Parts: sequence; C-alpha cells; structure tokens
Amino acid sequence: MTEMENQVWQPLPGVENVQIFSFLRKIDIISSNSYLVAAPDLLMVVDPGGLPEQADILAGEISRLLAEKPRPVLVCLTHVHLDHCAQLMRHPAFRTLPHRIIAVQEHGARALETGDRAATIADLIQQDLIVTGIDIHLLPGANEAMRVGEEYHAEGIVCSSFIDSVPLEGGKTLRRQCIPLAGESVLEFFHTPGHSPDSVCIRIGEVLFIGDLVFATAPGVAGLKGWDLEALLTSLDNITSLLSHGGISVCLPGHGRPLDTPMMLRTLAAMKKEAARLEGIESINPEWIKETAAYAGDLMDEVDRLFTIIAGRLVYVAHVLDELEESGEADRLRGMIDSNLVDELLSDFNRFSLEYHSGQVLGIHLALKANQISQKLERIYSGEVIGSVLDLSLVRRVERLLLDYTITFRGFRPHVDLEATDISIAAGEVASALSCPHYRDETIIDAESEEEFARALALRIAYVNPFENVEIVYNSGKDLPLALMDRGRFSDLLQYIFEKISAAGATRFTLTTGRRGGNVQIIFHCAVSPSAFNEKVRQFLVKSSSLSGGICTLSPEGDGLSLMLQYPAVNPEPQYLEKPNQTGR
Amino acid sequence: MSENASVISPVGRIDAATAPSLENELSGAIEKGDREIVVDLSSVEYISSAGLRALLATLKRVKALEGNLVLCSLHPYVKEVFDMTGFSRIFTICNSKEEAIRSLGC
Repeated sequence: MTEMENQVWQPLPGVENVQIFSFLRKIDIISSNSYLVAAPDLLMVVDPGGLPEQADILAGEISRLLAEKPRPVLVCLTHVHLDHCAQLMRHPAFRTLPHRIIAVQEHGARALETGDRAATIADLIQQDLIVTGIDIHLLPGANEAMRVGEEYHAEGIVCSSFIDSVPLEGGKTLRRQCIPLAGESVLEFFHTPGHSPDSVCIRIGEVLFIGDLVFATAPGVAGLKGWDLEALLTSLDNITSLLSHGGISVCLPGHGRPLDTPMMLRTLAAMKKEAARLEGIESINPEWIKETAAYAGDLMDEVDRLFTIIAGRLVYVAHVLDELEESGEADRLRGMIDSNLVDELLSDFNRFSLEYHSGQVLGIHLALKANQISQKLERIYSGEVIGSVLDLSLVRRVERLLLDYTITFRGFRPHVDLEATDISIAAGEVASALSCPHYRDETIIDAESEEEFARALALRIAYVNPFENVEIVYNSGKDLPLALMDRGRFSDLLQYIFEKISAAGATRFTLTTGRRGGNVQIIFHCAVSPSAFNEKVRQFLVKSSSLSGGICTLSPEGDGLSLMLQYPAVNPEPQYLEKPNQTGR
Repeated sequence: MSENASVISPVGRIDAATAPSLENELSGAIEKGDREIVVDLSSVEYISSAGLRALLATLKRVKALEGNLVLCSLHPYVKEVFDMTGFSRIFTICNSKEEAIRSLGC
C-alpha cells in the first residue's frame, strides 16, 4: 500500500498528474479527516470537517493551488453529519470559494437544503445548522432512469456527469455516478447507505474514500438517525465485492488511519458479523444521549466507590501482611490491580464529569468517555484474581456495572433475568452472608506450606465486616407469593442498601418482607436522616431497583427513613390482579 | 490547645492528582519535627485508593519515629471507604479535631 502521509502532497495512486493531500485526525466525533485532490483542471475536497483550524489549513492549500492555476473546486461529502461538513457552511473561505461546486448524495443534499437537524446530527452535538444549496444531487433514487451525459451548471462553470452500473460478483451490479477528473480518469461515486441514508464511497484510481462505513457498527454510532441495518449489510457486501474485484489499494476513512485493501476486507467481514448482532438496537437520539450520560455519571460514581474499596482493601491486607513479615504475599496482593492507573482513570472521568455539569462538554462526550474508561477498567481488572482474596460480591458488582454500561452504550438494554423468587429466602441469604466470613480458620491451621499459610492468612485479614457494629433485625413475612425479580441484581441492590444505611451511621435497622396488593415487598426501617441518601444515591437506587424488576420508594418515617422495594407477585390472588403501583419514589 | 500537634486540613478530593501534594505536606511536617499529627478531613468529600496509600505511608513513617497520626471529622463517604476497606482498623479516627488532639495527649 502507498503510505499516506499526513498533510503532505503526494501522487494519488493509479492516476497520473493527480496529487492528494490527506488531513488525518485521531478518531473523535468533533471532526472527520479531510482530503484534497488536485488535478490539472479540477480541485476536489472530500469532507471539509468540523474544525475551523482544520478548514484554515485546507483553505490555505486550496488558495495556493488556485493562485497557481484557477480551476473549479468540487466539494464532495461522504455524508452530511456535521463532523464531516460543518466548515463547508461556516468557514468564510469555504463559503466564498470561487467556482465552488458541491456534490452530495440526494438524501444528504435535501437534508442540507432543508436544515434537517436530525439527519446532520446537529441535534446531537448541539450545533447550529446553516441551510445550504447543493449543486449536484448525487445518485438519486434507484428507480429513476439512468442518465447519460448530464451537465450541472454552477458558478458559471459546467460539470458533466453520467450514471451507470459496475458489475459485481454473482451477477449483481452497483450503480455509480462518474464525473471526469483528468484525462481518461473519473471520480466514481457509489451509494453505500447504512451508516446514514446519504453515505457514499468515492473512488479515484486506486483510492477509495469510504467515509464512516467502517464505523457503522460502532457503539454510539449504530442507531443514529437514518442508520439502517439492512442497507448496511447490502453496502458491506457491495464494497467487499468492489474491493475483491481488484484495482483499489488503499481505503481512506472518515476518521483515523488509512487501511490497505486486505485490512479493509477483514474489517468488512468482521463488521458483517457484528451487524448481525445489532438487530433491535435503540435509536441514538438526544433523549438517549441525555439518559445515557446521566446513567454514565451515576454508574461511574458507584464504579469509583467499589474500585476504591477493592484497591483500598488490598492495600490494607498488604499492610497487615507486611506487619506480620509476610512481605511476599503482601507484594502479590499489591500486584493484583494497578491502583495508580485505576485512580488516574477515575480522576479523569471525574474531571470530565465536572466539565459536563458546567456545560463545557456535551452529553454524548460524557457517554463516550464513560465507555472509554469502562473499557480500560475492564482490561486492567481481573475479577478472578481479585475474587481469590476479596469478597466476591464486590467483584461481581463491579463486573455487572461495567457490563451494563457497555451494553447500554452499544444501544441495548442491560440483560435482566427475571425469575420467580421467594423474597424472604433471597433477602435472608444476603443478610446472613454479611455476618458469615468467606474463610475458614482451619485453613490457616491446616496449611501445609508457607505459601498456603500466607494465602490463608491474607484471606482471613481480607475479611472486613463493615456491619459488625450494626444490629440487623429481620422479620420474614409468612406465606408470601413468589416475586418476579432478577435475583442476582436484587442481592447486589440489598448489599448496596446495607452499605448505605451503615455509612449513614445506623447502628440498628429492621428488614421486613410482606405483600401489598399484587406486589411482594421488602421494607428497611432505620434511624438515619433521609438526607443521608443524597440525590446520586437515590438515582442509583431507582435505576438498580428497576433493573432488578422492581420499584424503589424512599420516604421519611419518624426520626428515620423507610425504604421499600416492590416486585410484582407471581400468580397473585385474583383480587390483586390490578396494575402494580408505578408511582416510584 | 494544639500547641504540640500539627493539624493538616486538606480540602476537596484526595485522588491520584492531589494525593502526592498531601503526602508532601505531611512529609514536610515530619521533616520539620512534628511527631503528633492530626489530619482534619472535614473538608474532604472524596478519597481514592491513592489517598489511602498516602495516609498509610505517612502513618508508617511517623510511627517509625515513635509519633502518631490521627484522623478526624470524616465525611460520610470517606468514613464509608475507611470502614469498607478495613482502614478504620489501622487508623485512630475521631469525631472532631479537639477529640483528635486530646487522643494524642497534646
């Protein structure tokens, strides 16, 4: 593959007397890559991007080339998302470019001409959209008759074009629109909807500009307005066939580094598998972003708390082992998690979250950041290793939270495994597990080697019961119907509530299971101020209750508070078959 | 009242970014001869594992010099972290600065 150097003019592979200038950026949602192509009688811009400083550089190059030889400038958009085209409408140099012709696929052209905020994702990234006229509506509806020798007139110049089809494997064909570039060579436009209805790939010689085709299955991208799974699968097949036919050596994406053809074919094959799993994905719209950003904030707070407990407890155990001159085992524990990196990641998210709340960054950025951080945490965290020493519920809760967010960010609902459950037994198990250590003293006594002894000792020290000074009174209801709930999530939720009640300073609380109407319920009573449960804790409770299949209600009661979780009864008695109370907290 | 105890009062978050400066401040107190140190956490609403490590490192250092370090006025979240990690068993934790100073015998 010809190496595409960033911001350097170089010959465009496969075409004589044509040069290419690539403006490559790291991947983000602020701005795309941009490309300039210079032919003797035509300049071409592919995606002017979303940043003014990027457009400054592009405009400088265009201006220099036009000074050398005036010629028309054809601005082509791979699609009309604003990260690819905002500067075409905003940047003074692009707005006043002499002899400018804009070519956009029919759907995108109409979106820019009518100021469609959803189609351009202006609504998601909260940017103004300037209505813009488009000179060439590329590849209009497939039902229209093929047109040969069509001419477009703009800015006093004439641009000819024709539409035909190229043969693909299996007797299929792919429509293309061609515009002459230099000598015998042409610009070829192929309609590749899926990521958006107006997505096109553009071929010049051995180069294929692919826009955001390779990002169409990515989390936070799949499900955008106009995203179409069926169309995407067809586009993936079409481009696979086109590349397999030969003659294209390099694919230039809308974001990130160029791909050679073998790499691109592997990427397309992987995307087809990925796309097959995207059936039923939720729409990525402003409401989704708002909800996901809020969820990201709540969830990362809890992830932060749990990681601090895990890392802190390992430090505690290692410290005690050091005191007991078991430095080998102490070092092993310290090596179980890179606490510094975890701390840095969580601090980074906190900074970002503060910027979000002060209006400096958008919800979509916060949701993306949480995804990035949660992926990194998953990579550096081994639940199996940590679970060999620490309380498994900590490990399980961290894993569940990270997985839930990954699934949510991908546009799906977290998996909820509802089953008929005896709420009294489930709650009793959680309560008794709190006072039941997960080590056996005999293991220390029976240890047959120094290593076994050190590990048994570590396990003993790692057992920390934060409820040892809290009296828990459990009143189990009689003859309760089974409740429909996700039992694992219910256990996690109860553990969280115990921790929060204990942290609020309660020395005693009661736990009562019972029924009300068609619901089965569990109520916590404790003498702590309701204000001890701040807004973040309340939000997390509501979300976690909902994911476990229930509803959480928190209310003041006497000198303390009452917290109730309600779940629908399985086969309730007939008089209770009305809808469950949905009033929430 | 606090003539013989050095009181250090960090503010805000003690995390990866701020723990080194707290540890430096505590080291500075030890280097200038302080052996009875109170860390007043009343204005600290968050502590990460880096913060816990910084406090533990200082405790070990001051104890090796036959001194002591006492914490006081923990925010509920910080108290929760100390309880859940086991750090409450390592540190003397007092409800107020005055109580902390008294516990040091100052």
